[in-house]
Amino acid sequence: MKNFWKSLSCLLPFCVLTACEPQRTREEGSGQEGDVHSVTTRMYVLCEGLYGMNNSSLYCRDMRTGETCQDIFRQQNGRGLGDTGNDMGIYGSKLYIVMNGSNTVEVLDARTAVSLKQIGMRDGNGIGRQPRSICFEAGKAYVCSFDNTVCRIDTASLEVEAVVEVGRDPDGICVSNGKLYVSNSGGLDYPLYDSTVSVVDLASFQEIKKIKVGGNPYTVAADSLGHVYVCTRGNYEGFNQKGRGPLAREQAFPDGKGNAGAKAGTEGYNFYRIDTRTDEVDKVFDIPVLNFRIQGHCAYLYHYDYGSGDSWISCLDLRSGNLMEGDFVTDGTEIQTPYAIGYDTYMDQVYVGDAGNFMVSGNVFGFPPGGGGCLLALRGVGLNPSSFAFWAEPDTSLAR
Amino acid sequence: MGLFLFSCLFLLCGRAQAQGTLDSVQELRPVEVRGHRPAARSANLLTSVQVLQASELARFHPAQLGEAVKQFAGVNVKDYGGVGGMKTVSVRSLGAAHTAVAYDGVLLSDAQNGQIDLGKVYLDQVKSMALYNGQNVSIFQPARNFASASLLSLETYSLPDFDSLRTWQAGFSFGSFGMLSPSLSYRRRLGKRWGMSAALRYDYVYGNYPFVLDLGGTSQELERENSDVQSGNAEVDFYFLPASKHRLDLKMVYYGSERGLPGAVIYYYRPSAQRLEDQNAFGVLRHTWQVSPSVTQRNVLKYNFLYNRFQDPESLGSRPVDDRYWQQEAYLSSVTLYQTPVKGLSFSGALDLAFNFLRSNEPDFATPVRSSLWFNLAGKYTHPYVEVMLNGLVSAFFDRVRSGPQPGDKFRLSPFASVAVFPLGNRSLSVRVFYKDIFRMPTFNDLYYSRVGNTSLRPEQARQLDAGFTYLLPDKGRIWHLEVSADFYRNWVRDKIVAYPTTNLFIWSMMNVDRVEITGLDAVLKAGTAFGRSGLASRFGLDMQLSYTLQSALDKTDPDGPTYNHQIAYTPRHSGSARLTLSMPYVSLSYQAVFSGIRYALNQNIPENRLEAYVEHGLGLDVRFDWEKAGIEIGADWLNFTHVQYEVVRGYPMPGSNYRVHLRCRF
Repeated sequence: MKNFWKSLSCLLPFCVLTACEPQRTREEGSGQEGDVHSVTTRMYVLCEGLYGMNNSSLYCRDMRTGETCQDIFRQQNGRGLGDTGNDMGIYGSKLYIVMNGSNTVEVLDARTAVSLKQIGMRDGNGIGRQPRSICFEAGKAYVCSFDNTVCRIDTASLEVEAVVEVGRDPDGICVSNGKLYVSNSGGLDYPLYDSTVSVVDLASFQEIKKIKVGGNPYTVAADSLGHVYVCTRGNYEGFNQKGRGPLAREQAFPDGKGNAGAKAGTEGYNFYRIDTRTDEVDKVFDIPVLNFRIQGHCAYLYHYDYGSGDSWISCLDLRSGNLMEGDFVTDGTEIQTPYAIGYDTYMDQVYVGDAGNFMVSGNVFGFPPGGGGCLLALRGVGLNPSSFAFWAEPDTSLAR
Repeated sequence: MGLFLFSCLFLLCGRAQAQGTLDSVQELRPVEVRGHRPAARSANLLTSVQVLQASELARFHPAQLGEAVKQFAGVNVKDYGGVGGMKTVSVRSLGAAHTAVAYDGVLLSDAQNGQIDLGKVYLDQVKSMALYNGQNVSIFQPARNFASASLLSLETYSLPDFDSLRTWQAGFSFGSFGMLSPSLSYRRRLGKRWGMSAALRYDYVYGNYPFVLDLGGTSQELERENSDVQSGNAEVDFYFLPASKHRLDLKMVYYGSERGLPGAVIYYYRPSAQRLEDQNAFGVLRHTWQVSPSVTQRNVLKYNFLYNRFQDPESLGSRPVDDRYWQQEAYLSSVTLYQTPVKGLSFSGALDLAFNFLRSNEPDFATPVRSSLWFNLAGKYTHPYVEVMLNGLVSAFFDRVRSGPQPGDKFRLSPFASVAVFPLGNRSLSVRVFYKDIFRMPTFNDLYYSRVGNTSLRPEQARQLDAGFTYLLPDKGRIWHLEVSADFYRNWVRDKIVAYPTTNLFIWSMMNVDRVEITGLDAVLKAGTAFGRSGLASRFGLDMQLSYTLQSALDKTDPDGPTYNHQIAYTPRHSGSARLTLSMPYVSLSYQAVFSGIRYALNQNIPENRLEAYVEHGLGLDVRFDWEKAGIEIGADWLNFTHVQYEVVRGYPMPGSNYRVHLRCRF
């Protein structure tokens, strides 16, 4: 095992140089000719690390050559990312990494992973905001932080321009219909969770409404039909000691459709839909969802029951409200602890991050969009893989 | 005879001599350091015991117990850096919660945390310390003293010692990083039958030491912040011998501190502003009674109060973090020793009860009350060629809570067996083996701590098997001495209580998951000589001590898991220490080094988790002389003089080169 890592670290300098540098000029030239299909050249996996250990890392895989780099950020910048990387996203040519413990947003050149700027996320008193999640719209990046704020960052100047109060303890953020939707978990006030989603008007950058959902809301994401979805976790019931108990598939979907709605509003895991025209909850799915990712008409959902160690991944059709038939993973690929789910829009693949027991280097598995057998298994990507980003370049083979 | 035998073992781990009454304990005189004199020799005992006398401690002036204990083989001191950083001791990779610390024969206890912060002990009071693997070799012990995997036993100065000590001792220490510490103590025999001692110490450390932070390629020079500590120790003891067959000891001990918690160093962010306040006061009344020539009894009554308060003014929650915990303990113990008519055969029975109560300002806190009972039966047979000790410990624990789920009652039977053979008949060589099956109870924090606690935890099991030998060069008027000992051991830990994050990294919980198998070797070599048999040369001497520890502590939790057979976190495979002392009239010089091999911050042995090996070197100078009628002692230490930058715990850098000066006056 040790030798494996040693040899890998020896290979790293080569992998980056050979993987990233060449062909660029030619691609750009061919890109201008138009009508070129983009292919993913790089997959980034942000590994959160463990709190207080400064061991967040940015795993990178060249999708053409298959070469990998355990921590391309450290390699390119001669320093580590820092502590507890919670979220990242690519906008334009830049990769933004949200570092909760280090209270920074690292802005990288998405092609080379060279840091362009480290934006400090501190309030007027120098106290860290603890940023959590990021989303982008019209040349701005929006970062929500545990200190009950959303910061607007200009993606050209990379400065924090404006700050708006939301809260308590925002966890997730997304944009839809000219508005920001921010889930207020209230997690720092355990057990007195918050149960709202703040709506912030982008034009005025003011909070205009708080929408009531279940307790402890987490991820929010928008679909293309004017809806925003949010999953709530309650007091993590179904975990640890009490609550729903082991979530076998049958129990999780009582009517087979996950559309019961009968227990809407009960504490615990639930999945809500918000209509962005009215900013009201218009549907509650009685599905225990820990986290999800929306792509097209499908929400990729997963759940993990800590008490039993059971987990499942599924796909919800957002038009019909039906869950997919059968299992998402069909070939018995063992995913111990699903911790993140990502979608490569260029190559149409779903990726799942597996945190193992949270104390070991995790794994990443790739699947076809409709589920099926594992297409790609990457082992030992880093501690607690928490988010994905994909960098695409025009397909040179087609251009020629 | 019986009492004497055991109190003698107890006090000095020394050799047995026939004595009569309780007063005769007074015959034992502590060794005062003046020029070169070999340290009091210990005879071979049943299990491996490592002893440090105050006279040896004085050569290198440890400011804290944690520093002194690093000299022992098999020991792994977890040190969060600086004076304020917590220091706990894990013996033979079993974890700090398996190490009990006895203060004058009665355990220090903290039912909330389960492990004793060695920084709380007032080291000036300690006359000798002994580390027992398994348990104390004496069977005349409270039952609870048998209930741990290893025992660090501290003995303080008490009545008979006072006859050879000066009454007053005033001290002042100062050193790097704004450390200063005045102290004053009084020890006096106040009559034929009684004496008292009182001691007071105050410590202040500004504590902000510089360190180099490696960001992973580039480095940054920073200073530790928010690491100031204020603490105070106070102790008042009374000793009373009302009749020749009775002895009463009353101890009242206080420790209080207020400190900043600098926290782990976080890249690109400033240190935490967290504060911690601790208050601890306990009183022990101990009565030892020679019931008949063959029966001796000791009864102990203890009350213990602990308070701690944790504040985080920078927390982002709606309410500022201000957690307070109040803990109380009442403890009763009675042990009776019976010396049978068969020469060398004795039995003891001990019954201990403890009641622990914890309350907190946390909403919906469980507010647990734990009633514990220990009953121990032990037998020991001593013969010139062989010594055997057996005991069985029955323990029962009943937790009752005010809110939330209540854990089940727990009962355990824990056996211990030990055999030592002295093939030469004179105890200069011993070959020994012991087996112990013991456990540790989940602490109140393990069970009830907000969100983290898990009331379905089982006790953590530890089985130990040890075989070893010790050779002591017989003292036949030689001016040099030699001692070699080595122990091979195998420990099995089952149901290890470990914190794991659950659902996300902000929510951790305690679980009984891990299994660990530990194979190890402890080796100690002690040697020394005086430079002459008489005259001036006899006052010059050289002593050295080397210890080496090999530990293979492998994770055996899940054969298919990625950490199977990996060395568990924070456990070096190789570690050791060395100490060299040159004694001269008035002056002694010492050098010491502590070595630790590579370790991993997590159970997975990959480069990302690696902590580098280090050697820390220290130099000490000790000058003693009489001025007028006062004994003056001046000590100076240059610690980590090679300025090695290292970490014991990831994210907690240790101080670089630093100094300390100690001034003491006895009159």
